[in-house]
Amino acid sequence: MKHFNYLAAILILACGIFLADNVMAAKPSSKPLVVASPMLTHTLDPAGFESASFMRGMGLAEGLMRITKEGKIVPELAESLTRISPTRWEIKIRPHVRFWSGKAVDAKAVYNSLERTRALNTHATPIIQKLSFRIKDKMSLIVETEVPNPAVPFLLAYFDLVIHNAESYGPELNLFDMKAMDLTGMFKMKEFKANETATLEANPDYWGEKPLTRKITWIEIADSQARAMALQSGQVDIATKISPESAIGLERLPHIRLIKRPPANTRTIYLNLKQPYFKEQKVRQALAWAVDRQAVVDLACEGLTRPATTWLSSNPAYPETQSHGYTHYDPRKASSLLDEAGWLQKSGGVRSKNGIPLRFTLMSWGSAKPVAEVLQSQWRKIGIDARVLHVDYGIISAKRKKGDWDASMEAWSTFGDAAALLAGQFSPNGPGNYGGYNNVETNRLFEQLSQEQDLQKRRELILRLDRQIIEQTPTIPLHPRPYLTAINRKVVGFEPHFRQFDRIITPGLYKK
Amino acid sequence: MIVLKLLIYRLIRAMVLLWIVSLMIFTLIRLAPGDPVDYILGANDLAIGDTGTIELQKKQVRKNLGLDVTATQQYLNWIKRLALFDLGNSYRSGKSIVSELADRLPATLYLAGAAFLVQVSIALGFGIIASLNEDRWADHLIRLIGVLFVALPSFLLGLILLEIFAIRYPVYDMIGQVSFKRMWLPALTLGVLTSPPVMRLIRVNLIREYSRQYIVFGRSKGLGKKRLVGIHALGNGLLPILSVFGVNLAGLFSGSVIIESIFVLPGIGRYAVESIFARDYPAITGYVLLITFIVILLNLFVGLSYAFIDPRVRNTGYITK
Repeated sequence: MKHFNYLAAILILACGIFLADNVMAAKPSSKPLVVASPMLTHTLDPAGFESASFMRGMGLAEGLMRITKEGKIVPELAESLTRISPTRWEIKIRPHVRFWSGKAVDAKAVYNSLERTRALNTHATPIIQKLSFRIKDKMSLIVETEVPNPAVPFLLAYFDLVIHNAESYGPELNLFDMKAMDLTGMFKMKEFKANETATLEANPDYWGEKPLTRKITWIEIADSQARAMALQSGQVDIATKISPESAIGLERLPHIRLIKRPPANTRTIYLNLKQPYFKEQKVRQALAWAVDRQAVVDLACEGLTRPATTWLSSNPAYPETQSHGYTHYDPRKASSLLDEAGWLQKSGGVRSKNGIPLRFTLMSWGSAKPVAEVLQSQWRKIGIDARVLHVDYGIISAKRKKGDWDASMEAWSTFGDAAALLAGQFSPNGPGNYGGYNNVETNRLFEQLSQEQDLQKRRELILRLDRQIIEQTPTIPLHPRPYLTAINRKVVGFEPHFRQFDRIITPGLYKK
Repeated sequence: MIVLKLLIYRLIRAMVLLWIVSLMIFTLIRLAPGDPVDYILGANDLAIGDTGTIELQKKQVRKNLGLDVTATQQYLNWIKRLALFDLGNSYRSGKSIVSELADRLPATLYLAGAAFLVQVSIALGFGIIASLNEDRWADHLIRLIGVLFVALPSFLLGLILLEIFAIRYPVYDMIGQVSFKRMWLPALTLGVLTSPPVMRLIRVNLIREYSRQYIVFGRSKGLGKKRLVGIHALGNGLLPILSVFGVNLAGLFSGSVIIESIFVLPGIGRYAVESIFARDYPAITGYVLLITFIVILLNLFVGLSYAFIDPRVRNTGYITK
């Protein structure tokens, strides 16, 4: 009996320890959450260079609208956004929201913030120039567009349009004045050392769901391998933008979780359509069919992303585009297209036509070198000689300006106002139309799209454009650029977002 | 008097050198392909709008950065500011270059200084041992170690040491303020990797000294090995190496980019690389001028130390020629 009592006591004690341990484990740690990213916000002014998007990611700043991780546009500081006529929208401001300073976020404050952004933030120009604002009453604003524009919700969710207290910052850029910093986010900036660290503390007066984490230390670690090692050592809890090479080692570790959600961008090969061989549609199509995208993903990106069949197919709002375009690898079709175009191969060598070999230079930069090398070997199999030139982006930019180039790689964002983004890439005046693509039918569809106001019909037109463009293949889509975040398993509530900079910090995120 | 003359002579030379370097770097970075405006506007990850709007945006940014005037005018504007010790503002952050460099200099100074101490200690220790054991196993072993250190890429040794001291046996802090806890491992890495050439030089110089008559004379008078080597041979043997130390220290200031990146140190090396990629002209120019100034300062220091150490130099003013 005595032994039984001892045993019972030990069992009760063990259960107690187990329960206490689990209860403790579920609670957020009092230690700060440590995040490492390759860059910190450049300045403390949301109108400053490369600052607003970082502030959004860090939970410091908010916009009128935001993009959810599913790709939906929802109100953030706006309570609602209603279209009241083809060119007019009404924004109702969420009541009881205050800046960190305690100043109310009302229509005047929002108006001043947007106008300050218009005056000082050159990044926001292509977005904000399409919109004009007017105060309707204390808590409502009217947004007007020159022409009917159903994409206003997207424009208001643009990452540079964060709402800040314009009075506090002043009429000029106020880049490093911590006292002037007055935003609405769930975290407040407590300390900031440019290019080094930022310390954030939870905003006790936050209007929304209160964050479970009280303090965050954000560290800039430029080198991906160093970020991975800092995470591995336990000195960092979340490491963003890990390179595929570093990620492979981390994936094997039991205390690390690798988040692999591909972002909404498409690594694409841009072809200079002024070069004689790229003028031929069959050659462009052959190049695209000869790309084994899965092999590119596996070999050059360690399998940490997925193939993209068209430029738009990395946009989660258009999942049907994944069945358009280059859905599989077809080297036979590629070879026959080249044969039809008169580019013939003799005894396994480089194809040629009228004595001119099918040879071009593919320029790559940043992390794209392995991708270029895999493509080189795949094209060689069908008799295309691609020479890889891995250079600094400045050289690519300069060569493109001169017209002295054949092919190069970029990975622009595909999420947002799809019509504007597609026009940016494929309309004759598009800033991303490097190759000079200009097609009558495509231009007609763009024109039709600009007139169309019905959302469903716009969607259908966008899908038609996507099919039309991929048929012509002015560019070759490859895959979303891998974006990897690695987190310690002690971290709970991390919500991967396809916009890699967006909402890294959420209210439910904490460290056990 | 000789030292004062030397100082004035070096100061004038330094000013001329700084001006030449400023002109060269100002011209060279503008000749390099790439436009800072493209970098600034390209960083928003979106190709949207139309080329007309983008051109207007570019024009505005160019004006804001003061790049809308001729290169000569830009240089004159820059020189005017430089005369007031103003290196301009960074294109990326808008912050003054002087304050950005001042923020980052302590980490580099700490790293370079500590690495220099490691380098000198290893080089002296191994150099003396190797010279005393010429062509014996200890000499061969030290040569082998030297070859290994030279052949080892800095990023590889850095990563190996991080794996050992930050992950397996976590005694090294990868994050935090610049302090001994943060600096000992990068300093060790950099010092170890840069020590072999100096080590070999010390060995060769000491072996040459051992065969000199004053050493033979000292030995015949019964002087101890420690005194002979530690005071007489080393004192004379190190004189020609002083300038190598000066050059090496300057190299440690400008050449620690990889170490700064791997060990997450906010130093000027990393700043320079980031600035080059972003075509941040004022930052690049500021960095180059700072490094030139440091090299000039170190050379001056080495020259002066010669004058203090070697009476022949002090009395003849040889170093000023």
